[in-house]
Amino acid sequence: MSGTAKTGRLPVDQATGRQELWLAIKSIPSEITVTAIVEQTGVNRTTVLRYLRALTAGEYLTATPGKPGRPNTWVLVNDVGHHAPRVRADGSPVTQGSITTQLWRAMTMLKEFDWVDLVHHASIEIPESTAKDYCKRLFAAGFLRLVVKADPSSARPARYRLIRATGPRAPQVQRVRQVYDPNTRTAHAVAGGTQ
Amino acid sequence: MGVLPGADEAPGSQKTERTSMLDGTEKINNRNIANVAPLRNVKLLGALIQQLQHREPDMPGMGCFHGFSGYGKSSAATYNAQVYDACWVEVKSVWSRKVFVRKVAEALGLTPAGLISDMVDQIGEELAKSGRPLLLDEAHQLCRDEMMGVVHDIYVSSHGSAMVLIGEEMLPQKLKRWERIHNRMLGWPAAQPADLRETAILARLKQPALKIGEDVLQVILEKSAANYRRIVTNLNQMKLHSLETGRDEITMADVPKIEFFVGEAPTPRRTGA
Repeated sequence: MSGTAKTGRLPVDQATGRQELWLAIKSIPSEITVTAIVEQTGVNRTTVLRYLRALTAGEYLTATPGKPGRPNTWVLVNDVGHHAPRVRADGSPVTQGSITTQLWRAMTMLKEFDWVDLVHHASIEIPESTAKDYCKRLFAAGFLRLVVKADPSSARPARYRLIRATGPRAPQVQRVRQVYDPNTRTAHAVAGGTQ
Repeated sequence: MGVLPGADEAPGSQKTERTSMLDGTEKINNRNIANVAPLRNVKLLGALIQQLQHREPDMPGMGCFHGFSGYGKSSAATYNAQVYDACWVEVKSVWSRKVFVRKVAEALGLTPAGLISDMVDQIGEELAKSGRPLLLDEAHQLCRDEMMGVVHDIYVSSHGSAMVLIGEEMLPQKLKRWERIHNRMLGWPAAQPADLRETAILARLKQPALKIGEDVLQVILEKSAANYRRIVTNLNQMKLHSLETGRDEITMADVPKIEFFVGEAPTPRRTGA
């Protein structure tokens, strides 16, 4: 944004993502150009163009080639609301993150649960280790409270209660030892984390 | 039934009769059950949401799913929220109008701001454009004049998006007082009590390691008064018994040794003398 080139990417809570691009697109629905979006958001032209092409492939936008010397324009044809469509380059929907979304939604709705309950209330197949691990990480980051300790001798898994229901978006377990909560845009350190 | 092709129908005829008597238990046991989807109340709510989303243009777009405590309404809501990407809000009795609309906006992932009227417009626009259904759990808490006005406003400003009120058994009767809401209901499905098929599904889901005979499942169903929550509790008692005895097969011989939760309040003790 400032013009000085830096390597690597910004932390997730500081980056300007596709959500900002989508809101900019929505604000000028009939005459979308790359320049107009760049002026509003300050995002790199290539990044903007790549998202516009993906949205066109997903039939959210229709493209009109510009006359010689004029820029290409797009028109918003399928407005799906506030949230930016998550699309791949070929326009198909992104499925990455759908497991944690389902686990988190089951946590917020069931309130008290063990990992088996979470898997039973998901509409997609979730591996046992993924469900267990997500519980463990959120517990270490202070999102959950332990209600009943796991007891292997009576085949009983640990029961948790959600104590930090911050919103609809699932917290992300990051590779650095922290859990990022996109609802509050804060990162929580994972206590006593050994990888 | 006699003219069906297939020569091995004759020895199976007795079996078909037995299967139909058990209401599909046999069929269920042969399949791997991964989640709560085959439970009847989960399907009922799913059917209601589908009916609302694919209704004729001039049909009303609200639904009411009601039933007694422990009949798996919240479980049904959770699974269907995953399938239909629904916006789910659990209403609390202390909420004011402003808190209610703010919570709905937050559940939709919006940043709530401004007056109640601004937020209602914001919610309506988001529901209409995204096409997500709205599930209002514990909706009997909304049975107040001012709250019902807000529910009606959200429905109108979303241009009739699918909206389901989920609540206790008396919810439809309570809703009668508000004609504007009552008239906009497309369906009133009631959560059903469990039967033997559902008990078998729950046993497979909750205690997959146990082998429980059909006669024992029948006992569980009767002792639990067809209440889902109590069936799960009693299945857990089965597991404890199996751990004590070291056998994973439960038969009628084990039944007298198992302490069932029947959900009755204890009778008063005699005092004096």
